[in-house]
Amino acid sequence: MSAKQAITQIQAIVIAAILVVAVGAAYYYFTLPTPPPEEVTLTAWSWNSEDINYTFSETTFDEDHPWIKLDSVELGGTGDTYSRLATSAAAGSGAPDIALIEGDRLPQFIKMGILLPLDDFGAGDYADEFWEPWWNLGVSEGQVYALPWDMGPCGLFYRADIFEKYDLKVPETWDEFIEQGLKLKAQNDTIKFTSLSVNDRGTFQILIQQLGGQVFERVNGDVRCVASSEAIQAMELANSMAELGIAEWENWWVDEWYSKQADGLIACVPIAQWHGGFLKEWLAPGNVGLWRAAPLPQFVAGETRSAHWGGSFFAITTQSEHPEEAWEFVEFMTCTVEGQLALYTSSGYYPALKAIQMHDEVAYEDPYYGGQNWVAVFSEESVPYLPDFDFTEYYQLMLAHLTAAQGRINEGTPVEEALEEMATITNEEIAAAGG
Amino acid sequence: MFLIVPIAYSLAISFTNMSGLHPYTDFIGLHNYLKTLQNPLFLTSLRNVAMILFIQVPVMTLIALALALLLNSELVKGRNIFRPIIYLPLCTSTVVASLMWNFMYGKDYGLINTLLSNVGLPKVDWVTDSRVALYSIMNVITWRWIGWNMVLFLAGLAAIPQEIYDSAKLDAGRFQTVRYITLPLLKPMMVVSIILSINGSLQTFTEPLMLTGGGPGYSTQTLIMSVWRFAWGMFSYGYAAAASWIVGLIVFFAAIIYIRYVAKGWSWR
Repeated sequence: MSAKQAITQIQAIVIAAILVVAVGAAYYYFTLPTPPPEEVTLTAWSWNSEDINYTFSETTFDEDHPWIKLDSVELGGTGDTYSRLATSAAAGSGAPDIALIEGDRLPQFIKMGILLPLDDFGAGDYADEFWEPWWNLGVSEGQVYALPWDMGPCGLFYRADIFEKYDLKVPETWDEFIEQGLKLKAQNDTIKFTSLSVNDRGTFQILIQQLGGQVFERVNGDVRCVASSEAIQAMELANSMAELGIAEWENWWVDEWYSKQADGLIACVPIAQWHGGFLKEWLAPGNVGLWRAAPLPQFVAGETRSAHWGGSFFAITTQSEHPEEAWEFVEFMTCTVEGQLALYTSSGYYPALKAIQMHDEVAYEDPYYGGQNWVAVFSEESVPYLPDFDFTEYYQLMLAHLTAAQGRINEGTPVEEALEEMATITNEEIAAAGG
Repeated sequence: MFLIVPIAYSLAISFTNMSGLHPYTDFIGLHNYLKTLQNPLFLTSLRNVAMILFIQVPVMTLIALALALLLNSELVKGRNIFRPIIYLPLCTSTVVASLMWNFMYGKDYGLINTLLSNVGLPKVDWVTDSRVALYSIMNVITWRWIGWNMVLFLAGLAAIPQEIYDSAKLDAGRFQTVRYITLPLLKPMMVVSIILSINGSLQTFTEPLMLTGGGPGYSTQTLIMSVWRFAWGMFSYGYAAAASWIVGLIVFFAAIIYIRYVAKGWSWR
């Protein structure tokens, strides 16, 4: 063999050896076990820390994500949660990874810039899993900022025993509602047919939504509060109930209001689905078999207009240091059957995910409601007909003046005058806020 | 550091349009101050606290003084039991006290209306009638703070030398002793009590928040509630800062006016 042939053979052997080593290294590298992710603790702020903890620990999420830990912080009520979140936004630090925010407060926090857009995580793919008017509250300028957790579709809770005793019919229209109220008043002046909230949005929000009205209008990008014709009509209907003596303007969410419902001094309440859980769990637990649910009365017979009140979303904050992990938990809580069922099991709040709104574990014949499948009333008669309602970032600001207007209306101020004043003061404050 | 920096920061942002709802912060001079003084809600709040100041403070002071004189007298048996009982409301948190009164003020289930209807009197909308709600708030404040003011007066009474009373006994009756000796010598403590009450009344917040939320209408809205709303309802931090400075100046000047023109020359030395 010549020297040249020997060199050629050696080169071939070297190249072959390199190839063998390279292939072997590649094989070894790609078959190495993946090191476990670094442990991450997510902080979640809410007024429902128990329910979030339950969803985390009593489902498969914990087992499937052993590197994710949860610090679910209960900040008191909704007001405390929002104040802390706003402070963190202003300070630029201190915000949690995940925040629970009610639907009507979302526009405010989206505008603050504290919420992380979720489109990069594929949030938009879930749009069809939720009812559009509700889903849209978490969307701004085409970007998804929050995913729905629970909802507040509205209906009518009524005392079946009182209706039966006084031969009352479940009203299908607001005219029938008034008629039945007067019928009850004629027989028993102590029991009020319904209740009007002087310190909360109550009946007004339900009625204006059913009328398709708004309390804000957008003109050239500016937001203005208006005393719309629908707002006036809604408030006039509510006030007529007080003037006819079938309802009282009173403080809601106080012991006296709870006691009146439990003791049968209020025959029916148009309100959101979550009130059904309140009645059952703590407001009137002794009223087993006495309450029923019905669809909201309509302005026009045969219509199916609904309303929503309350309900909340999960969002990830821009200050989160673990957005991917936060997304995994938020996605699980809101977009999976297991996560949403855990929510319902723990809290009784109406789940936002379409797929389980008639699930056997959610909508069933409930002994508390006399064997009625009361949740199905909301799933079938309310949720599919929710309106679009533009809360804007100033709704909370307006609410304080709405309750003041309700108080003035209770004392004789004409409805239109009171609502015009509400709109004027709200607009002055919007201007002062830089809006 | 922890006092000066926040105060200075608050003053600085009061001249800006700093807000949680937009990312920019521009200097706007006295705009926030002028807007606050023209804000009908702020002005209504000012009227409400003025009513608290000119009605609740004198009434509470007089009752506390009367109680102090009574419980300082040897004629009253069991003084050592009554004093802590009257002081007890102050040991309750304001939130708890307000919730308790909320229950008592209930129109249909409340204790007060139940007692009224038992004696044939009509029920009263204690917290849902704008003509009555502010007085209901004043009642709660008086109930809670009367013990504190009574203790101040008792301390003042204890500081009056007994020799003065011994001398007065020679030719003064009980009423004359109180009128010409006790009250003049108690004036310094009255000044302290009233200044603290002025400060407290102008900063009333928890009771109306818990009992009425500022309603019905705006009849129980107070200055601090307005500031709180500007900050956490409107997220207008500059506007809220300006309003808080106005409130601070009102408290300051109210105390100054009282000391210089009302309590002027009060001293027993």
